Formats: sequence, C-alpha cells, structure tokens
Amino acid sequence: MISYLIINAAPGNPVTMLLNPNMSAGDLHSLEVALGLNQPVWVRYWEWLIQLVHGNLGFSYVNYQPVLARILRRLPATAELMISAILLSYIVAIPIGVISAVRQYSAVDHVSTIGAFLGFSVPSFFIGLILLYVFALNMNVLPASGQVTVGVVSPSIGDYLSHLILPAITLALGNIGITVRYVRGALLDCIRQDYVRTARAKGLGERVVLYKHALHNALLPVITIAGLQIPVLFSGAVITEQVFGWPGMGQLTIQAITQRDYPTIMGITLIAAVLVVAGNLVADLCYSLADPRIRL
Amino acid sequence: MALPQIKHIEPVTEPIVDAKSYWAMARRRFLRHKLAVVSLCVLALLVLIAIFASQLAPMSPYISDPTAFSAPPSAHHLLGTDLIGRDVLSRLLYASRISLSVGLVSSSLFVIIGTMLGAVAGYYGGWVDTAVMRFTDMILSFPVLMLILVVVSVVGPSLYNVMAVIGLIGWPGVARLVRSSFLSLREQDFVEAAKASGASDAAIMFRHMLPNALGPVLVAGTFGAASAILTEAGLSFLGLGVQPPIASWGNMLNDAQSMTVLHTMPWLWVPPGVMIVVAVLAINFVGDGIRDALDPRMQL
Repeated sequence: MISYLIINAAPGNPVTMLLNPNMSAGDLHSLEVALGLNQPVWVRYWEWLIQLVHGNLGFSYVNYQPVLARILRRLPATAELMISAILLSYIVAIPIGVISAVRQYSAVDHVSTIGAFLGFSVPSFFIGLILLYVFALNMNVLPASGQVTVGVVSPSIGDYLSHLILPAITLALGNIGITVRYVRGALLDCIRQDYVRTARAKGLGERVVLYKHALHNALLPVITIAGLQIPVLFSGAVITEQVFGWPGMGQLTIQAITQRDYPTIMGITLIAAVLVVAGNLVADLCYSLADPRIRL
Repeated sequence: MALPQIKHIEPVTEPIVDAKSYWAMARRRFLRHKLAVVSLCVLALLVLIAIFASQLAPMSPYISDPTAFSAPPSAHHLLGTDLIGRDVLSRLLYASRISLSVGLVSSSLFVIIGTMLGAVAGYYGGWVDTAVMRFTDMILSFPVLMLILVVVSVVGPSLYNVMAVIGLIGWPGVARLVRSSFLSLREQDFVEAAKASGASDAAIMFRHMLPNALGPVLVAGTFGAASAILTEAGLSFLGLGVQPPIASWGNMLNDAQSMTVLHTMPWLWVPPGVMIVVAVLAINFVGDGIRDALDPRMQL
C-alpha cells in the first residue's frame, strides 16, 4: 500500500517536465534568476522533489505565499462540498437503485433508467446554470454564490447550508446517475443467486430477504465504485466551484492556470492525487470491514 | 400394468436454428432496444446538421449584426444574437461540427492508444504488463479534468490541442479492458495454433486476438465519445478549450458565467446546453444498446 502511494505521488514529474519549458519564455530574466528558473529542468525538478520530501511544495509565483498553505486554506471548502455531494448522492441513489431492481422493467425502472442516463449526460455546468437561474435569480430563495454571505462575521449554520444546497446538488447529480445503475445491476445479480433462493425457501419475508440478504452483498461493489468516483468528483468540483463562486481548490486551480502560477498548479495536482489515493485506501478499508471474506 | 399405447408420435419440430453470425445477432438485439434505435436516429440527424451546417445556417456565424446586439429571438434571428451581435442559431449549427468532431477524433485516438497498450500488456505479461499497468494506475489517480486543464494551459488552448489532449489522457479505461480480455484470450487454443504456425507476435495480437476483444472496446469507445464531448464542453465553458470566434457548444455557454447574461438572456445559454445534453444522451443510449446487443449479461 505504501509503495502504491509513493508510485502515485511521484508523477508530479511528467507535469513538471511539461510545465517548465514554457515558463521561462515570457518572464523577465531577473525574475527567472530569482525563482531559479534559469537552471535546467532536471535541476529544478530535483530540487522540487527534495523540498517535497521536506513537506515544502514551493512558493506561488504570483504572491510568494507557500503553496501548501494556499491549498490547505482552500481544502476545507472543497472537502465540505465533496462530502455533502457524496452523502447526497448515496441517500438518493441507493433507494432508487433498489426500487428499480426490485421492479425490473416496470415504469419506475424505465423512468429511473432514463433519469440515470440524464444524470451523467447533462454537463454539470449546465445543471448548475439552470439551478442558479431558477432558484437564485428567479425565485430568489437560495444564494447564488460563495460559501457564506459576504460581510457576515459569524455566519449561522443555516447560512452555510443555504449556500451549500445548489453546488452540492450540481456535483451530486452525475454521481447519482452512475450509482443508481450500479446498485440496480448489483442487486439484480444478487437476487438471482442461490442463497437468496434459499432464504426465500426458508420462508423468510420478502423484506428480510431483500434488505438483509441481497442488499448487503449488492452494496459491496458500490463501495469500490465510491472510491473510483473520487477523481471524477474532483473534476466536477473544478467546474461546480467556478459556477457557484465556491472558494475551494477548483477555483484555485483555474486561478493558478490563468495566472500561469506553476508551483501552485503542481501542488494542487499532487495534493489531488494524494487525496484520490487516500480515498481509494479508505474505500478498500471499508470494503474489508463490510466483507469479512477479504483480509488485508 | 399395461403400458399406455402410443397412438402417434408428435413430429418433433426442429427448433429453428439461428445460423446467423455473432454480429448479425448483435444487430438484431440492438434493433430491439428502442431507446438506442431512436438515439441512433437523433445522432444521425446531428451528424447531418454538422455536415450541412453551412447550408442550413441562416447567416454567417462570425459576422455580427450591428443593428442587434444581445437581441432576443425574433423573426430575423430565430434564436436571437449574442453579446456582439452574432446569430445564435448559426453559431449553434456550426458548433455541432466542432463538438461532434472532438468526440469522434478524441475517442478514436484514445481507443487506438488504449488498445495498443492493453494488447501489449496483456499479450506479453510479466514486467511489460507491470510497467504498463503501473503507468495506467498513475494516470487514473489524477482527476482527469485537472490533468487536462494543466496540459491544455501549457500547450495553449485550441481546437486541435483540446482534441489531442483529451485523446492522449483518456486511454486508461480502454487499456484495462483490452488487457483483461487479452489475458484470458492468451490461454486459448487458437492462439497456441497461431503461434505454432509461425505467426509473428504482431499478427497474433492484432489479426487473431483483437477481433475477439472488439466488443467491449466498441462500447468503451462509444461512451468515451460522449465523455469527450462533455470534457470539451467543460473546458470551453471555463475558457480553456476551443477559442472564439470558433463556436463550440461549450464556449457558447461561457458568456453565461456572467449573472446578467444568465438572468436576462436565456437564449444565449439554454440552446447550446440542450444541444450538449441531446448529443451526449443519444451517444450514451447508443452505447448502452451496443453493450446489450454484444453481451446481454454485461451490466453497467
């Protein structure tokens, strides 16, 4: 597991290689010397790597703040958004997936199938814009952007939540579509298995068979999918944060890219990769907790 | 006990043997999937629109009308005009060319790369396999959009760069699929036979094994085209994809980042959004149909 982490943490490398040649073109020579950019790529990369081991991700080209501090300041907002999106998507998707599987080929199933395809076919920014248009601009019930109301010193929980609703729905929607399909597929597989027939033959009620026997096993692959969804959510967060002016890592990414702030860009990609790997690790651990057949 | 007398023997009707090939059967199963067939028609229509955009468009998508800036839909401009007076309908039609070709080119690119890498990894196994799959895992552990954003910002945003970058980064899924089917195909007798008859490695991989692994690749390619269109739209929406004056559905939505446009000029951002949804939905349904047709047991 640790070696996996290291392997995955390393490839700031190709990104660095790509980034550096372009950098020196536009900037002043003195600035280049100050930032150490007149040195060859591999020297800079090596130094970056050494610093990385010491926990230093370098300093922003734009405001000379340490990159790590900049990212850590943005991380909680993104985490808040992603976690609420994940919770929301499972709360919505699992029941729909179950109903859809139990009544396979019914009207409910068809509607949920089409809905699921819509969920992952509609671009998140379009959903975001529609939600903004309807709820923030026309009905005026929810705030349009930001994490809290600007200027409020100690915002209430209600203020936080009302800002969170629209971005969280936007980010969750694609995930809901995919999860519904997986839950449905996994449950359909389980229902046809022998042990479910045995449970029915014992005379257990349909409810017990379904929720205690079938669903428990059907949700196992869903845990794996949850792990795989984390990078997708990160990508979604970049766009969602842009639409809703959410002060998270996604917005920082866009800022850094438009400002050509390469140390920050590299730091973000690295941190994102580490978080993705950590997320997969957590998913693996949950999997072994949920399924006693798997031992670490 | 007397045996019951057999009066007459029912003539055994032979079950009609379906002597059709794998692909013919797949086509029949596909045609039963109504949603997929409808989607295929929609997709065909979109392709026709893209091809004949210059004939269908009422006016040039690049020339602005000085009498109508940000004009609402009217008889003259059916979908209104944008902030600098260009006809939205014409831009919408021309944009379908860009968006669909990004989907086609990018997904072909990553299907080819993924197939090559997956085939080599699955066929040779051993350290080649380990090396290729580690590299694949590495790419997979980055949020794709962030990686694409970074690379695009370095090579510069343009239509061809966007196509290339999406294609060059999207292959890991296909590589994994091809590798896993090659791992099981490798053990089969026909591969042994091909080896014994002296076929070269390349011939075995691409002439003998690949056709047997084509089904899942086709499905992955179809879904990949849909996600490539979404990615291009996302990039262009952020202003880091296809650059104006070239119209793409994504960059037409870019204007809607301003609250005024969003609130007061829905004709600017609703039509391109709807087009993206229709195109992506149609491609995804077609992909679903192909998947059901090729392997009814496969689940999403």
